[in-house]
Amino acid sequence: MLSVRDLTVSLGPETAPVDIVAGVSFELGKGEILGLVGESGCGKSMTSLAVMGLLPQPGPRIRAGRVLLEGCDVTQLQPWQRVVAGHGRMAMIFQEPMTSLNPVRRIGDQIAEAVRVHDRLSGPPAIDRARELLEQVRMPDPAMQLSAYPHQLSGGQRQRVMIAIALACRPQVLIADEPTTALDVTIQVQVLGLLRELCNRLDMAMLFITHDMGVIAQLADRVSVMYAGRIVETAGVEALFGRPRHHYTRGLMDCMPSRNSGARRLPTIAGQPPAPGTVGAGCVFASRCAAVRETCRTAAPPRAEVSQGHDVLCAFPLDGGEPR
Amino acid sequence: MSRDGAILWLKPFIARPIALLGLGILLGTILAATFAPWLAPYDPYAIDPSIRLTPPNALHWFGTDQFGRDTLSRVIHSARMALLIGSGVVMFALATGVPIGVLSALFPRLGHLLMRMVDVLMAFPSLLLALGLIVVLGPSVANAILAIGLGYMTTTTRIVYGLTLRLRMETYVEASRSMGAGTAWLIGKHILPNLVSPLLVQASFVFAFAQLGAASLDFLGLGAPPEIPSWGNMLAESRTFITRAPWLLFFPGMMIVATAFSLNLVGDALRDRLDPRFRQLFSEKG
Amino acid sequence: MWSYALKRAGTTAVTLLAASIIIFAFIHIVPGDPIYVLLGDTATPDQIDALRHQLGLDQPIILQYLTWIGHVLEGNLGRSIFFQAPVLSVIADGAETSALLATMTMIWVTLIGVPIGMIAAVRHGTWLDQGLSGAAMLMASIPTFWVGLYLILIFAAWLGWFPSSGYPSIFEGGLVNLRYLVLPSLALAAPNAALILRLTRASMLDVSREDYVRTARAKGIRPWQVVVRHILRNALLAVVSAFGFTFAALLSEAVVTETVFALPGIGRLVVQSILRRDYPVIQGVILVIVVVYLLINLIVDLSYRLLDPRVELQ
Repeated sequence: MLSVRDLTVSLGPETAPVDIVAGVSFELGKGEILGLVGESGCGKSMTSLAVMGLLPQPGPRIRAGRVLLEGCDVTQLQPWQRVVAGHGRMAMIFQEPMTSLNPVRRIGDQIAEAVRVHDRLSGPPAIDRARELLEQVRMPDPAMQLSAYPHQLSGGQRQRVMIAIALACRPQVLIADEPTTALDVTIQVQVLGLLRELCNRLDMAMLFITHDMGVIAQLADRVSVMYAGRIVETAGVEALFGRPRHHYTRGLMDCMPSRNSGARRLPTIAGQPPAPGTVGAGCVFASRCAAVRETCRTAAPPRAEVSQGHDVLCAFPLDGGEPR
Repeated sequence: MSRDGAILWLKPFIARPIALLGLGILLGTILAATFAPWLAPYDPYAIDPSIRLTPPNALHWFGTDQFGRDTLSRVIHSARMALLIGSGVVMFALATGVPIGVLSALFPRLGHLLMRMVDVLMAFPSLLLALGLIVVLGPSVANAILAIGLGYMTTTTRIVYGLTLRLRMETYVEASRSMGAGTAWLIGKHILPNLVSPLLVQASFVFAFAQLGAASLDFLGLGAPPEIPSWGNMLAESRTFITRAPWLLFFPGMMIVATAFSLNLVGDALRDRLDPRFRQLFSEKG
Repeated sequence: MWSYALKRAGTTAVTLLAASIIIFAFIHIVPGDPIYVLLGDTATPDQIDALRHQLGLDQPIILQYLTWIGHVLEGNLGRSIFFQAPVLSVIADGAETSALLATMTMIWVTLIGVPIGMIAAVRHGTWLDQGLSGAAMLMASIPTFWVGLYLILIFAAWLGWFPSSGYPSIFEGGLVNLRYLVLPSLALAAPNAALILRLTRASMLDVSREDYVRTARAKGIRPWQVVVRHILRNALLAVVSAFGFTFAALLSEAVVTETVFALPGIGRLVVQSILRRDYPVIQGVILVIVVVYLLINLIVDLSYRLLDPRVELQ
């Protein structure tokens, strides 16, 4: 369905590029939910914008790698160019529902605009379709909300509108960039449930980006962990949470509060991720890794498949041992 | 200022060649004003009816006016008036705008009253305000500075007020206040140092627009006395000769444009390196 | 909306009241007693006292202010010393020229400033953008009267396309008389168009960085549709609010332009009245301009609110 291969996004001049996303690869199958998890600044949002063809201009650019949607190369194409080329079935929802809708245009218009492009409808049928989409995202009183302005809706309702706009693109792949981070916890649960249900019902694949391991554990089928612009580990959700192989993933798990952690102080990973452009030849995690060895600092670690469908970017991965 | 500090300030100009041009013109004007008696080839007041209205030539590069005075010499000497008016207006605007703005932001009750008064003054278009003041005070260089400066006092006050309000909200200022820092300490330590860069931007724009305001007053005969050479006065005296001697008005006018343009360029370059939170206080109106 | 409009109208009234005090004070601080201006140097003390009493100048200052503001509210702005006519009718004579000049200038400003600002913003960062922005800054740095003089030289004296000065009423000579205002309005438009250009560009760039523009692009609509439907309207909201400011700048800059082109407008009236020491006219014109300026700002502000649906909740 969606295949991303060696995607490299860079800033700075052509002669001395600084890679903020370096050789990211992943596959997304029909109806599958892939979680992309990492600290803020690790390049996960850049990855999603690059995949969607929405990198801000002037700014970062795709220096290498390919994005294939159903086998068709859409790498350097913006969304409208993809629509023209007949590969427009990818959509995205964003982190900030408060600012992601145009404040001076009605909800109905904003949804119908996407309907017109993707369904080639216009006039009343487009509005009908917009209402139908609002029903699909469980918006209370959809017919009324068509003529509402964004400021009249709550945060959760706005995010539902954003999802409706995305669905108007009839996506095979939906990219969700921290869609629930800005919402209250109860609303968060509802929106996650809605996304899960829509993926099942519409057989839609989703790339779900978050820094929240808890959300990933509930929602994703597979998980990729990103660190300093690289994917350091990819595995099925159970394998990853049960037997993390990368030292960084393991560190993240240890930082998660659990029910029996009580008042105990949570552990942290010492140090800071390297700034883009300061990464040397060795492993990007070497400076913070508890099990670092001499070769880690000088040689790039290999990508090893430690078991079926479980990749890790580490020269000395944790042994699986007993499941946690 | 240390060498690094100087480089930091020059950075926006190096990044933008056109801003460097602005800095160059400004420097040229300052040099012309300082060394006018040595740079000017003739006495700017010397009248010679035999060479009235000569077009530019090898002896008189910018030609001569209706009294046979050398235009180039007069243009060079006029740079003094331009700098005097410009810096005078800037100093007046800052000397009034900064205290009023800072105090208004720190003492909300007083501030409310003062800012309402600023609003009232802003209801008068700036040139009209200047004209009214000239009527009351009479035309002179000092009064021109005051009359033009009053219009920029209001905008400067507004900007300083906005900046100070924002600074007051900053966590470190709040923290300093909560630890019992006095108002004077607050102003000296936290507020004034942060106002320096934005005020430099404001000063550039005020200087630029003061040139245009002064030229207008001179042109109307309500600015500097006619016997003092200034670009505006030169335009006012020669305007009736425009069809017979079009070059007469060209050079003084170009000097006004060049000075205002260069200050605008400098202000623009400085604004771009301001803290983005402060930048929005400078609308595109200068 | 209505409560906002009322509140906004209230502040305007208060500002106007305060401004009227300043304008009233003006005539009392001008050098020389206005009585001498009226009667000349040869007046006897008796004549002076009589006039002083007749004008109410021997009454307490507050009473004088109340009398004056009462007259103003009745439309009586006093008598011009020079014209020996009511100030209001003297101002009304210049109003046609000034209103048409301002309108024509605003048309140029809109036609030049907004589209070119849009082009600069859409081509952001290219040489075209830098050229246009630089040109705008240059235009904002040019004195209007200087441009005016060269426009007269080129288009009136040399080419003879337009008249160089004066303005006969369109009610007497028909709409062709508008050609008298072409050069003055162009001169006056140059710096103001430059300001609107820079403002349009800046606010379009601000809006284009908004999240909702990214949402619009994600929908797959074409770039020009993104510009027209999502960036332009939101950016122009900011530009609309600058129109009041521009109009104000225009009222005062017209003072110089009308002098250069010898237009019988309010601006030239101010300058001539200053030179003639016709204080009642100066006072009246300043009052009228301030009222017009405040009213325009009020209208602009309210229409801005009307265009922006977000205010319903505020």
